[in-house]
Amino acid sequence: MNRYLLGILTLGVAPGFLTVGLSAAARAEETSSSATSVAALHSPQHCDLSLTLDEIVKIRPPKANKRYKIAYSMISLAGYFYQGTAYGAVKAAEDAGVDLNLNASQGFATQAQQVSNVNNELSRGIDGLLINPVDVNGAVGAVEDAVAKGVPVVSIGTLVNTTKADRLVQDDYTQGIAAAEFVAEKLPNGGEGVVMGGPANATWALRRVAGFEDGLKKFPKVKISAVTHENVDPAEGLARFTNVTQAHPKVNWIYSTYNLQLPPNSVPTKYAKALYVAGGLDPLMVDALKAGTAAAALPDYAITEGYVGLSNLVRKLNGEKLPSITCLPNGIVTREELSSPDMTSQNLFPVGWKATAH
Amino acid sequence: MLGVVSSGISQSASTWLLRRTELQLLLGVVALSAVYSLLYPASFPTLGNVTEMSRVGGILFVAAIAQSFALIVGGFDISVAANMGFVSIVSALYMAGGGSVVFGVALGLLGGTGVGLINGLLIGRLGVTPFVATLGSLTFLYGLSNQLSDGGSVAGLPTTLSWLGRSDWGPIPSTVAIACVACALAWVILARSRAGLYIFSIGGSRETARVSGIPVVRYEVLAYTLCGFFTAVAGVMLTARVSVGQGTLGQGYELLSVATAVIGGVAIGGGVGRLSGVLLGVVLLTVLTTGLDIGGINQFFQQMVTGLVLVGAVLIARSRGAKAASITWLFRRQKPGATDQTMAASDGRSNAVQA
Repeated sequence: MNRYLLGILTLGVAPGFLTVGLSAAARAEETSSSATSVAALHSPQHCDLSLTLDEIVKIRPPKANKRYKIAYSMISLAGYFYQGTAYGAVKAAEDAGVDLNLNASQGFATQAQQVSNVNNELSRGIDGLLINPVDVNGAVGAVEDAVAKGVPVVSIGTLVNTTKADRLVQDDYTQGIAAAEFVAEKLPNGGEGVVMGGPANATWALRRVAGFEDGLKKFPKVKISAVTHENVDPAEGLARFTNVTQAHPKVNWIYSTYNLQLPPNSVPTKYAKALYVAGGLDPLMVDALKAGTAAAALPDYAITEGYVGLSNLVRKLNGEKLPSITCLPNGIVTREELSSPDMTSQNLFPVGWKATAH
Repeated sequence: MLGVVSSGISQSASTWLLRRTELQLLLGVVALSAVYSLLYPASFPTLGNVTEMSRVGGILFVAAIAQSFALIVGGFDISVAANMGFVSIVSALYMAGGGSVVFGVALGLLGGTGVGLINGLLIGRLGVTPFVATLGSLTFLYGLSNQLSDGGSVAGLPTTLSWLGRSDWGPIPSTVAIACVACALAWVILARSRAGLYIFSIGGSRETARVSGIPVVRYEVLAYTLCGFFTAVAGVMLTARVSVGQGTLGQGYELLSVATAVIGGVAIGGGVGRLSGVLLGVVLLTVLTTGLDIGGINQFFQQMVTGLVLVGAVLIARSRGAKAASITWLFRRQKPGATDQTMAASDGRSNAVQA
């Protein structure tokens, strides 16, 4: 055979066979995954204290015993959730009478930058550290460095894998279950749908998917056609969605673990009638709920995370003992719940407010 | 013996054809599509899938055209994705604030073209290397986009924007129609204008071009400006497709645009490239990723396969003119050297200006 032709056929055919091989490998991997890691994804978060919406709206920080210097180490400044946590932390700092310095990494691939940021803050001299960990394990070193220097730490958002920090989290697994139950309730006759699973290496995304899958076990008529994994990128999400719907064209519902993986107004017209449910309550979802292009949002309480997190840190600095793991509520927001001032005050910050960080 | 001679002549002609980048890629695409069609007969070889692939591929093609200008002139532009995001934010903010689609799009195109102009001035006039100049632009633009959008996304865009990326122009997806217009425009510039000739010449040898009296700086700046313009077009298309403005919207396109252009035969180093090859590079990559998605392959394996295919495709494409070892060596019956030299002489830089 002509050597060029052979090369070209190799280029064309090899990926096809690779696809077959990898499908088989992926299936084998799924069945042989360590029981521990799967169990960790498929189990609810242990909470020492679980807060309700009524309780969190009443939380106020105590007055600080002195004007503490506190640093808040963020994953990124780019993103409504992150900005929301910063807004909450700034408000709590004002209410408690402490100095707050924000610093930010540049997303989920920048754990090293977060460690550097924390070390720089420790060198400058701080009394307390609020941290939204880039990675559950990667941030452990930064937390332990701070604690070793006598600086108390409270983590928010992602659950950092060390007990040396007091942690404030929202259980992503339970959020997935809440989404599944909503879909099943709205589609009593069942139906097929697609899960936009989010980044394949992000614990929050994997736990939401795991919760959703487990939540649907009680509702056998509701079937998952496909689970995609994509970065929090509307363009990538839309491309993945259109590709998987070629293989699974029947879509009665869509669950996106975070709304920007497939924004409601990006859903192809062909699937506009599909029940759309997504994580996060931000202006984009508010508009979609009002317009009817989204059926429900699963709020992530960004402002609460920052506000209660910093309040807890001031308590700790004042000498109070905190629960090791405090959990925020999970729930569903439909168009009707949007009128609740409690819900909006915990999730939406004023238009034009902007966090600045070093 | 006659039969052997005839066979030799025939084999020579077919070998010449197969050495053409476009034909190599086309056959690769056909082979890959055939395999996917066999594997997923109900999903892959359908009109719906072809339409969806063309929607995605149309945007990537325009981004790759943009990148081709920078590559052909002898540089590259790693700020393509950041520029797309910047264009997305600028036009989305204007339109979400109640501005018209026409002015919003014009503002985006102006902004993106301006970024290209600045890149060109940095590289051509001030002598900053393309890597440093466009890395600086990339970093600056991500910061600027996030600053302008408060680090968030911009929703509430007018529905008429969908004509530029989401809906169809008659039977044709709008992204395909716009890509055709962009391709025609780029072809006229590269293949039918003095500017195109100069851009190829500068990419081939900057010094020779300068000695020949070509105003090198002016045309280098022009190449990057055109890169910025076509990048802006891609940014507007992507914004229209997802109906959201976002600073990170084009992320990944900086490398995809380089990869597809290089797969398509555009030489890193400049002076060589054809839009037909770039188009087929885009088609190959789009078919590959779509098939992997339909096959339910996880994200990490997809990255691995895509990386392998990129390298494989470039090795095969390069083999037509390679003087160094190439993948064809693996399939060679003759002694190395003679064939490669013949290939280089017959099919190397002679393609340069056939944009």
